[in-house]
Amino acid sequence: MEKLGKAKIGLTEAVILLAVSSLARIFTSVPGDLIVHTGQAAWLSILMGLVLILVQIWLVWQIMKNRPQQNLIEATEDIAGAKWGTVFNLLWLILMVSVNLLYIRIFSEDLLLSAFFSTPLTLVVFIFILSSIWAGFLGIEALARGAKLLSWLIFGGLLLLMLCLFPLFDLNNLFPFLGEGWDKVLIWGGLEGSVLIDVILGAVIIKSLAKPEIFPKAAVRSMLIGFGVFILLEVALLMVIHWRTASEFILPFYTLSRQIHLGRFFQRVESLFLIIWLFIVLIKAAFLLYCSAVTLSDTLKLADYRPLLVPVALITLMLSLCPTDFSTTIQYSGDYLRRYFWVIGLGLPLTLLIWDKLKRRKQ
Amino acid sequence: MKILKLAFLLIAMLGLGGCWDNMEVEETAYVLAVGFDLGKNDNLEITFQIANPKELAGKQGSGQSGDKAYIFNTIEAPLPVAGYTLLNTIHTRQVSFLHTKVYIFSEELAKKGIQEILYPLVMYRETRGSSYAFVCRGKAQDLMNKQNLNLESNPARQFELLEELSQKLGFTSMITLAQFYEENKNHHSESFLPLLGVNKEKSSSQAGNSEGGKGESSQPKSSDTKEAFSQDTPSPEFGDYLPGDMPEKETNLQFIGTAIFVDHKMKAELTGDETRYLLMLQGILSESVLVIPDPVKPQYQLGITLRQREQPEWDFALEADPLQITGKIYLEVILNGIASEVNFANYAHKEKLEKSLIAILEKENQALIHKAQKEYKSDIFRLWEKAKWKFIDNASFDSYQWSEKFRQAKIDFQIEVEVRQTGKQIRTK
Repeated sequence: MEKLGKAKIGLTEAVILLAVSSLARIFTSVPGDLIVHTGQAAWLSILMGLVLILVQIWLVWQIMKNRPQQNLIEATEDIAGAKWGTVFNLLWLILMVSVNLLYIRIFSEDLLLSAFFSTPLTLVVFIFILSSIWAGFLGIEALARGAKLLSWLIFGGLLLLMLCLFPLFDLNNLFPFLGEGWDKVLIWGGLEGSVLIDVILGAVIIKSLAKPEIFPKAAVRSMLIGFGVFILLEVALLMVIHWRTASEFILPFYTLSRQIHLGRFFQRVESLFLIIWLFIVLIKAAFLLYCSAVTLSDTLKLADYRPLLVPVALITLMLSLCPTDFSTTIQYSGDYLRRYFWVIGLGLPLTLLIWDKLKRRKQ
Repeated sequence: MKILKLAFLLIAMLGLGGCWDNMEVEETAYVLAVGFDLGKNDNLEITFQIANPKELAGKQGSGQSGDKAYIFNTIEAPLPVAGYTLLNTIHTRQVSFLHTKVYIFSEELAKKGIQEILYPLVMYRETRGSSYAFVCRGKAQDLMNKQNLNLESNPARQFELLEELSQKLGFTSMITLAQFYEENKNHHSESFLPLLGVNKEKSSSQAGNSEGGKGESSQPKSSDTKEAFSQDTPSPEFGDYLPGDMPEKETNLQFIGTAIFVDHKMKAELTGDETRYLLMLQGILSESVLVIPDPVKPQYQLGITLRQREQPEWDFALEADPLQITGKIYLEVILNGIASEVNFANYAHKEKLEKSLIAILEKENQALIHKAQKEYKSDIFRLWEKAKWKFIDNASFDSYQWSEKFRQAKIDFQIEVEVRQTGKQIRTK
């Protein structure tokens, strides 16, 4: 268990942690939703989304670069003052908890659908939460090192998945190039696939980085890796399954892994994919819980985040069981959270930056 | 603390065996093949071939056994999932479809339309997209019960081997359930399924059920259309059969030909030979054997192996009225049966062979294109897949109305043939 304030993670660990965390969305409805809106140009819309996320990283770094001793939560309060700072930080917290509870619910439902058909949902959600609490207690250093250790398996497994799918690739599936039209590629790329919570999480753990100056490097590299892998997977998906069909599946990449059969011997590799999936999801859930607890402890000016892990985890657990069914969860995630996330994900850093500039000009 | 950690790990290990979703092999009945026929009152007659693992293992090993290696059950139900559920009222073991390798649809059902079965089938969580799908001539339950596994004790293995074999023959093309579903969902695509059938001369049950099976077996199927193109060029009719029509002394399962689906309904059957040309025009013909008249000594026959050297090149004049499609098909040839002893390593003879083969293939392909445009009224060659490269987005492609344009299109193509090898002998004397 790490000593408070002593944990330091290097550039590689930070890059891998953020990249793996951003990759978790491939197990949600994001890949399918992108295809619904943009057709076979879904991969192109992710590329457009990468441009927006670089803007988000720039905005966050503009806020953080003059405050080497602070993380995003402290910086928010420093800029906006105690009252508005607390409001903004609670907004960050609500966002983190919302993302976590929807992720945990979606991943659990996905697991039930694909492997544990008869297992009670509450048990799977509880196991995710329990693992996140444990990882949270171990701290960010353990989490980052764990992610680095597992990254070989995660990225190696995904590469193997793509290699196995190679005989099924059909380049014709990617044409007409602009799919459902350039306007949809631009709009849905921005709304559905771009602005992520992970850059915000990176700014929350900035004090745990070896040096705060490595934040922009870590954020840019991790997003390039995360988006790069996502684009490759989406291209592979579209080349194997026609976009009209690919958009139908709740778990397109799991469906993709079930299509692999290389001769009579190499079949049923989805079990390998399931392991990679679990690793990514556990890292994401634990990282979100850790950052939620740190955000709350910094907002409340507590010295230690650890006493807050269990209460925040319990709130997440209870809320994650609130949506009545899987369709409602997907609807909350797609129609509300993801669609309007950019308002906070981009809007709040922009507001803080303008506030900071105006404040500095006055001084 | 250490004891607590150890206790936690030990308790966590208890869950590794699975609690709610564990499936013991000896408590599960694995369905290897499912057949669908049209039942009474619009219901389905679903036939299941369930493995008896103990007996199957015995058959693969020593072969000493008393019980049957498979159990067949036929159940009438409105939907596949209803049939699956009812099947569990017969067997005490939990029925599993995780290892189902083959789904067979009867011809009668395919002609009525199978999308109402296909969609729930794909949606079912245990269905694997990598399973194969077939259309059988006659009733699926008859075919499954009579399935003659001459060399293989396991039908799953038989169909897996068939996939490899189909690439060498070019008389059929294996389609997975996922591919078939995808083609059914695609607005521009026609879907295909390979055909199965049992030799009719021995199979009494099929005689009344199959349209193609009313005393017309062993007759070439597609020669009428071909005659319209070139009277002088001979037609190789060595694979011109539908399954069940090929004359054979024993009762055997025959894998030859293709069923074409237009608007979710089976519209036509292609013979083995026609399937070869379909695959050639689609650009997915791996290998196929052809017997043609010897161009130098026409009284002799010549056996050749055809291979698609590279993907066909298609060009589209989209603005032209009617649509103009030009293509180039690249083939290579290996000679493997020269009865005439003509030396085809000789340049003049080789050139003559190439010209003769091109004439035959052009005639055969033109006949199939004509059928597709006038009879099937659909782009069975999937030329639209290449044409859509010329469009910027889906809306512009949809508004072009490819299917209608294809029916009127002027399709010209060139075939390039290269005699790559002359078999084991370079010259004969």
